[in-house]
Amino acid sequence: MELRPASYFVLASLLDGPLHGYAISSRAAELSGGEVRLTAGTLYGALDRMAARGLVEVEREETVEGRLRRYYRITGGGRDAVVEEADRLASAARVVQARRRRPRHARGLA
Amino acid sequence: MSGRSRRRVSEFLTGVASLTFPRARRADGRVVRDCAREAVDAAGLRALPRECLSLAIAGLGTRPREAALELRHAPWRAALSALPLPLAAATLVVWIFGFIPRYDHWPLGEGWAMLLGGSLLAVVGAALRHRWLTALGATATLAAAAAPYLGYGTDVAIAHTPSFFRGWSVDIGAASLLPALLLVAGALSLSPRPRPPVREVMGRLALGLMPAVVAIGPGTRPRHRAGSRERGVSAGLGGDSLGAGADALLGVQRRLPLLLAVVPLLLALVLMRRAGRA
Repeated sequence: MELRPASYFVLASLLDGPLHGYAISSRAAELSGGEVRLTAGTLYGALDRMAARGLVEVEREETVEGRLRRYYRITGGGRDAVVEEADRLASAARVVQARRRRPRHARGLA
Repeated sequence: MSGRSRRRVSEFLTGVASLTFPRARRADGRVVRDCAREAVDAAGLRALPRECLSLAIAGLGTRPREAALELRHAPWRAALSALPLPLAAATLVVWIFGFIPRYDHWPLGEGWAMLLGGSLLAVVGAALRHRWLTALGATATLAAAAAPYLGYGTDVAIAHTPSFFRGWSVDIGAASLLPALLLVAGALSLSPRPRPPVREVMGRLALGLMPAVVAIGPGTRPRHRAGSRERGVSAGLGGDSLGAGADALLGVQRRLPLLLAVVPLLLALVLMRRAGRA
């Protein structure tokens, strides 16, 4: 199951434990080095889709300073999906890195 | 702009944007809105347009999905099974109103016999909550109404009649096809269950036939002129040397029984709804 970058980082941000919407968004931005910036609407759209696919689930809701927060938790399926995607990305990265390390003339002969 | 004003602006605009969420998803809308507010608090007002737009798009995006979900989970079968009696009663009354001003000789042609007999049978079947009886009546009505459009008309094809209701310009043959089809579907959705008690059947029958009784009342009798059977149908209300006011009055007089027939029909609907709830 291939994941989009946004879904990948959302799942990755949930690996350490349940988080609420804004915390997920901040953590995803941090993990991606600022590459993935999710607005509230986009984030909840993605979370809805992932919940429908069984990758995440709602853990609880609580009101903090008059604001309703919904906490999400990664499921076993979500954990498998993100690990699988990480392996896929790592193996794709290895292909390029291996070629980068070889001398230029060796690459030409190959 | 002071911090409090910024917060007010942010809360107002995100609140407005969150109204795009459908009523059934208001709680989700509140969660997303509050998340957007937290983002604006952290990033400042420059994030506000982006967050509001995203919130509005998310809300609008949930609407088609919510509508599709509601349509899929609507109690279609229950709704259909509540339809047969009022729909059969309406079909019968409409055909009686179409029939009385048009028909001035006996015996009945097979088309009219099927239309009126089928509607009556559907009313009786619906009163008995009998699936096949209702379906048979409804199918006969549907077949008779559709026959002229398929080239199987009687000597006076329904399709050649511009209007059954003089001056109303309604081709009731065509207009009745969809309700008749709905009646067939409603009949087939009646669940096979024990026959209702006689008292209930009689009550339902009375409710189903009440509009028809009003429809065959004296007010609907045609004023036939020699050789005017077809002409009368298409001539409309104007044609005599009456003024426009008199024409309108005559129109109201002719429509009054039809309007009166709507009252018991509505009453029947209300009573059946109450009975259904009970």
